[in-house]
Amino acid sequence: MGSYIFKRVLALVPILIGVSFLVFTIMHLSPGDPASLVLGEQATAEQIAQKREEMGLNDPFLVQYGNYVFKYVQGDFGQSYVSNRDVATEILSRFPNTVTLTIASMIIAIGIAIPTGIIAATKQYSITDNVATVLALLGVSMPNFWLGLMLIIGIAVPVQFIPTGGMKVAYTLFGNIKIPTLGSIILPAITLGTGAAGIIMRMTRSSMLEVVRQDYIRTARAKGVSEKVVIRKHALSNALIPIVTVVGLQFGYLLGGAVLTESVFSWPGVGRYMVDSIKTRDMPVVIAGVIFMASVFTIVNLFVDILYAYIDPRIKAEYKKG
Amino acid sequence: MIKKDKKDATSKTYRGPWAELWHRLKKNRLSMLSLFILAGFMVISIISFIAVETSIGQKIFEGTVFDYQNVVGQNLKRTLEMPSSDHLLGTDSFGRDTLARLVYGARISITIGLSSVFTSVLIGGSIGALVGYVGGRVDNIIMRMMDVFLAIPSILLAIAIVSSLGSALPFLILAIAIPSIPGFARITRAAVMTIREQEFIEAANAIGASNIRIVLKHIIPNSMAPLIIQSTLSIAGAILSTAGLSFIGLGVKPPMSEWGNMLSEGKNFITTDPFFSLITGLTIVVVILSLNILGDGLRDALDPKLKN
Amino acid sequence: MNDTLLDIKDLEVQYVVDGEITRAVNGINLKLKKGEVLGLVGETGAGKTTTALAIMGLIPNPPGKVTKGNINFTNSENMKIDICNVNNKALLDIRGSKISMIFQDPMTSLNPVMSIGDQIKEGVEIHQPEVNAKERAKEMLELVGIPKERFNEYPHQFSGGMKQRIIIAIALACTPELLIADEPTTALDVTIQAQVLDMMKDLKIKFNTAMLMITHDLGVIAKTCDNVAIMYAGEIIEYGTLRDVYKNTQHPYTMGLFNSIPSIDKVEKRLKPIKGLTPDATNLPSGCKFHPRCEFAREACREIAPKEYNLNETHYTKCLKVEGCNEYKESRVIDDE
Repeated sequence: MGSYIFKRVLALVPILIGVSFLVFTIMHLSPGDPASLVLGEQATAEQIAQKREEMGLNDPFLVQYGNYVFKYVQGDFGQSYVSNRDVATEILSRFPNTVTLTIASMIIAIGIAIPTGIIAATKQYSITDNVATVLALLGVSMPNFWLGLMLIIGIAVPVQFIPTGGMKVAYTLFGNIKIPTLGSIILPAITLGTGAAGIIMRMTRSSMLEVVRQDYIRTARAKGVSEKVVIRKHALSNALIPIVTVVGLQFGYLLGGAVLTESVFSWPGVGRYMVDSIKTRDMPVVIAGVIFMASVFTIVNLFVDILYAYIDPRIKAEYKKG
Repeated sequence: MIKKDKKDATSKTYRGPWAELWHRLKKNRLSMLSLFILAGFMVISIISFIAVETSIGQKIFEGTVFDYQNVVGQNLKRTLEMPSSDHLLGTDSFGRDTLARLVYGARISITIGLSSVFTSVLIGGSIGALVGYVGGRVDNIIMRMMDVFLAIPSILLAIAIVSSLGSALPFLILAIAIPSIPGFARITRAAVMTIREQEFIEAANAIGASNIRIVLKHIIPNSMAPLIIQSTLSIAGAILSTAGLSFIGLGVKPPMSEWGNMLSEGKNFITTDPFFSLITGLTIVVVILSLNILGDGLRDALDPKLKN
Repeated sequence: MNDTLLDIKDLEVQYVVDGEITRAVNGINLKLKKGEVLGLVGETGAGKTTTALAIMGLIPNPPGKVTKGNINFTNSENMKIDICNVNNKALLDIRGSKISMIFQDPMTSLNPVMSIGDQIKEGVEIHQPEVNAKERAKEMLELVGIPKERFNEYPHQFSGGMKQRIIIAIALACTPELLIADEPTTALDVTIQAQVLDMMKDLKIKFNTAMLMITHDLGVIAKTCDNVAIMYAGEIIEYGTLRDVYKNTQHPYTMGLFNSIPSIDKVEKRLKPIKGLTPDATNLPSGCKFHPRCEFAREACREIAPKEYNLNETHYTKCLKVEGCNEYKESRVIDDE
């Protein structure tokens, strides 16, 4: 098992190099000149030329990329063009807020979706099933920023203790991790989690329907196992494998979706920081932000892969062999 | 008696695969309703195109909701009105007719949705078909490259592209198309690999059909089913992404109207005039919901085994 | 003393899918005594598995439903239960403790994410809480020839034959009075088949379990059964002792079955397969359901559904020709257009 995990971690390296190269290349294609962006409109041609040299912009592309990655792995994401602040510090200080929001939405999504999916599957074609299926489809079909706006007028405006935006801090842990009040996180979390809930619910339902038709479920029933236990013990543990995959993938969508949700609710996370930076063409922040979020997503997917082994002994056996 | 059995079997009318698909889809009422709604939006988009881009159209549709003047023409005396006989869905903060802007927005969304999915199907499908058919090292290298694209959440990749290249329409389409290329590549590759193993391909090989001919005549038609389903769902995703990008100011820019930038505008007066945002968002929901229902319906119709 | 264990009366089971009715079982009568082994033979789709599931009370509903008849089960404490008309709680009590079932495909019949030991002991925990389930499960493993040290292993670590042994261990863990074996050896290699059958026979004697052996393999029946029931299109068309059915075959379908298997004694003879296919259970033929495929069919066979005709106390068949009734004798041979 240990060697498997090691191998998987090692396999991350080429993916992360690929991601950083891709993002760096895309950003390099930008027609604007970073040097003149940094110096502003009043800069003279000589000043710009000097700044270009200073920023390494005259180096060949691959050298620039190499330098960037070399600094990045040491925790130096560069300086903001706008505020001149250290991008790494700025991103890392906001990252816990994005994580808090993502986890809160995932808890809401899983908490609603998995039980609903199971009930819908066990009572296929019932009214409960139909209502749940329609709601799930609706959840998938709503732009989350619009849902956010609707929640603001529908709930935040009439309800006193729920703010229309921003994060109210309840506690601070380790000096950096801020735990928000329930009132301030509930709406952003619902907004972000609804789409994921829809997808996870649909997956749970179809996966359960697939599993309950399997022969081993019949074997369990033939033993005299009650329906409740058949579903909970036999069916769910098998249905969980595809569900875990989807949950893992949804983490990525949540990180992406956080960009929009954070903008709607003025949530002080990495997403909103990036959106603000795009508006001011603050490229170092955008590059570092995208690479950072993609890395987090990749690492989450690694955890999902490892988690499989604990759910499915067949995969564990494969791991031992490999 | 055996003869009789055979007669019974043939007496069931045989349909071609597309006719069979249509026959099954027709039985699904919800899917048909979705198809009807989407066809409606399609017609509106086409009329909007004619009304704005052709001189005859400009004359015919002058003064109607299709008139571009109604999309961009401001009237600061009549801002944020509720629905009336003049403005069926009211006006926005610049006094522009909401319905006219939604209609124009439909055209933009559908154009971007269709062309970006077309782009990613074309690129992703070709890559998948190629590597699936060739296999070996080429397959390995290209699919690892696809994994890199998949490692970046799609909206972030789109944001990176648009923020670098700008949000002119071709770049916007590209930004939305690129993240879904790997998905299409994977689907086509998988389909091609299963089909490649089947006997009729061997048979085609045996009678000396060329590789290109095999790909065009056999493999592509046979990988259509999963591609169509994925395309329908991807159009929904593309429209949502466009709206999302426009919402944060990276997509379609005002005064041109697009559903996402309308919502972005609506956000500024959401607490005082929620109706504008409500109606804009509902329009998006109806379109996306229809696409998703149609996608589900197509999947069930193409593969009845999956339906349970 | 009444030694009838299972008494099926006029059982009918139907499945309704998309408004189409599949008539899987059409009025069968069967009796099974304590300790008896009854073979149920028929082609795929004849309704064998449906009959078995009905006895277990496991017909999936929807789409399936027992539309008529009773399945009376009398256990050793002389408690009589009609499985078709009993509450869910009572069914759960019987399943796995009084009646067990072995399924056709060992590869898919074990839960892949649960250790085999846990799967064996689960039934014991439910039905016999006073017993040390883990110990019992280990005993069962040894009994079916698997070292008890493998208790904690998972199904993917076993071969097909081993898996079937595990399934047998699950089924016998609570020493049921009736064991239904649904094609227990079909999915196995021939050499393994013999091993598994021998083992089942030994265990049957050890526990004095009655057995309903479902198969399409006449060799398996000859090796294991006391009585045989031949099933066709949801009906039992011939029933008797092993000797009755094998040595004094009456029904044209049963004859057809025997003629379809090669025999070492009669080398010169060509195999004579039964023509045609099993009828579509959504659209069964009128009269005798076998008449479209029967070489002796006459027009009467199309009209009249044959009744059970007793040849002796133990042997009956459903065939107008065997019955020798006047309608058959007087009607014409069916013209094939």
